[in-house]
Amino acid sequence: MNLPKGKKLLRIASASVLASSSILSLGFASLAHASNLSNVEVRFDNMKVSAGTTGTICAKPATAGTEAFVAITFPTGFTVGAAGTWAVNTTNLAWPTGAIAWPGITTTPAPTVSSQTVTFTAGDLTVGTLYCFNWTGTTSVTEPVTNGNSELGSVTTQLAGNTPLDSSPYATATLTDNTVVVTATVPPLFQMSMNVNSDALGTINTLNPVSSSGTKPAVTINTNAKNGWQLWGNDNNTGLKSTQANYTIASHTGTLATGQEFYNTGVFSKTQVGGAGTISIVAGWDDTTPNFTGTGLTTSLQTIATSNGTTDTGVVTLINNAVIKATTPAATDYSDTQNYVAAALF
Amino acid sequence: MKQWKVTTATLIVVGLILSSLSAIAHAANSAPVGTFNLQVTPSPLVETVKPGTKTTLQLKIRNVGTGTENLKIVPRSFRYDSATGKVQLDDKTPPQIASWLTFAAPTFTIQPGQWFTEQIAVNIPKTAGFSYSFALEISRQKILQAPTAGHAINGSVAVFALLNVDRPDAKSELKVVNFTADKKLYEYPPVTLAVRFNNTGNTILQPSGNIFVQRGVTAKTPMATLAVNAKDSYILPGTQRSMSATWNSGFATYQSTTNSNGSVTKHLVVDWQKFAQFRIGKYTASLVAVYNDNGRDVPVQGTVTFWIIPWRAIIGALLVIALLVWFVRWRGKRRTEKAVKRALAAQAAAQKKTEAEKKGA
Repeated sequence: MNLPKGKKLLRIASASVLASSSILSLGFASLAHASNLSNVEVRFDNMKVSAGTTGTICAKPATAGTEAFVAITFPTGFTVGAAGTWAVNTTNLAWPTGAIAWPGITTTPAPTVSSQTVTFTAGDLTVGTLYCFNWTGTTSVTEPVTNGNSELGSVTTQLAGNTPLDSSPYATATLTDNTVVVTATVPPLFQMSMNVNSDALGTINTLNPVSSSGTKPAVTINTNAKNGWQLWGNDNNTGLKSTQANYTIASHTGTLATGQEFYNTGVFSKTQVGGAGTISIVAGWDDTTPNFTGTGLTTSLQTIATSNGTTDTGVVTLINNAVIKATTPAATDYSDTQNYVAAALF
Repeated sequence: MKQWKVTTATLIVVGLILSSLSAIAHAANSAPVGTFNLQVTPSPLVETVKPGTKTTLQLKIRNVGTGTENLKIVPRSFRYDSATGKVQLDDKTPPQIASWLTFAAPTFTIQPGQWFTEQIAVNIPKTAGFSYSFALEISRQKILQAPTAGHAINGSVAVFALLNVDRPDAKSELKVVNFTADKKLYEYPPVTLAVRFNNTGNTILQPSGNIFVQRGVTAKTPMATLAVNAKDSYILPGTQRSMSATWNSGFATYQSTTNSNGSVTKHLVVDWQKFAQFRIGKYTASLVAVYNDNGRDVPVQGTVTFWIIPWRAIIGALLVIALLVWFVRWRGKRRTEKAVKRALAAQAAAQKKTEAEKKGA
């Protein structure tokens, strides 16, 4: 047929679009197919590359007929075992809702294996009913040696004489890995250390807020936890408490300023020698400037910092700040007990 | 005389025992002198337990500090916040499972540099299900109290324990809430793809799988295969968790470097060996993740498309082409003008010559 060049291009484009849309309509594993088998599902129990796998096959027939066989074609790249490696059962292994056992499915006589296709002897099916069966031999089907997506196969019901009745494609994928291997020689480790057991604020006056005067408390973390870690803190008094004066300088979240009477704790610095993780200071705790900014500790644990990966010598240095008013009762025993907890995340 | 000797000996023995006990008690209750430094493994502690049977878990604790540590271990509850991805640890409330836990040594002493293995017996009743998550907090038996003035600083280590109960009626179900790219349009990679899972079952799940970056949904050979859940994260029942993967390969890519002050800068890196991998056009990322349901892989999937348009390079190339076109046309025009001028001059000269010849004749 001689067509003008423009029309020819249009037809090619239309055909391409149609072909693409028909391919795109194929979902993964569970596929709808007009006037053929519907709800086709071939589920591989182990989708890892090179893995021998058991699996489940489900389908809902659309055409009336006396089925005698069902043929499963596995995608290119899958290794299909010899007839003797096949075994089937109809145990409901998390089948789709409403599915019932595939009648007459058997490996006696043994299925015929031809290239990628295995044909089982099976019984007659009722149109509109969802049937499933499992293959249970781990050497029956082996996943490809390389990972891939959109690997296409098909399920076909056949009449006596292997005449095809209903058919539908299915798609699957092969994954790099599907399990997490925990090595025995490198266990998941988490280490936390504190550099001091106490911290002194010295003498607090009304002129300016004051901060930790000596070695600042620092939490050091070492871990190979890939999900990182989290650091929490709380205190016993929700403030700086004096028994002598029977008075508490209250905990306060924010920046301390002259004329106030508050106490807070911030993160003075965060460093790490190595590791894939990054330490993040939770909003409200950042006093790296430093300008007496922090969070008021309470008796409930609050998150101070997190890391999202492995950490080599991650150090979170804390700073305590306080400020008083002219009316704050005088005493020499304003004190607090702070508790810090760290854990590797999961 | 003999009775006196016996009495004296008895008193000495009793005295020694009492002084020993006193010393032990003092050791346990006295304030620790060293700084807190503990290492624990495994962390987290993940196990599948059978209902109606006793399972013993082991947690190893090492005193990395310089002083003897008198420690205690207690179970605590926690909550995973799906919105923030952070854990809210409750160091006061025991978890629901606490009554089914027995510690071989609720309190113990570890010398500097030594390991201690805590045996944790889990007695899950037959009717219990289906998963339990809690924290084990290890801290000093005697909490440091605040000094006369200042702060006492106490540290403790928590280990998350995640237990699945092996019951046939357990429901493992994971759904993909969304699968997205951080932008719709990129100039160059990296492309960050994020999948958010929702654990709608009652077991603790750990998905895995791949994200296939390809030209179309059905492309058989992906350009890149990325790992889903490369960090082997767990998703607790009733919670959602986001996981991301980054595709950053090609001829031209933005690479990030962390500066000494912690800030991150990105710069364009051109790899001439990957000239054939010049990224331009529409791409599709197909997610195929699986989770385990009684030993079987159950797949979940998602698809997202994005564009890579190196627009600055394209504009630059267009500008260069436009300049070249303009230059060629300008040069042609100039040549034409010169040729016309020359022709006119020649014509004028010829005309002059003709007129002169006419006059001469």
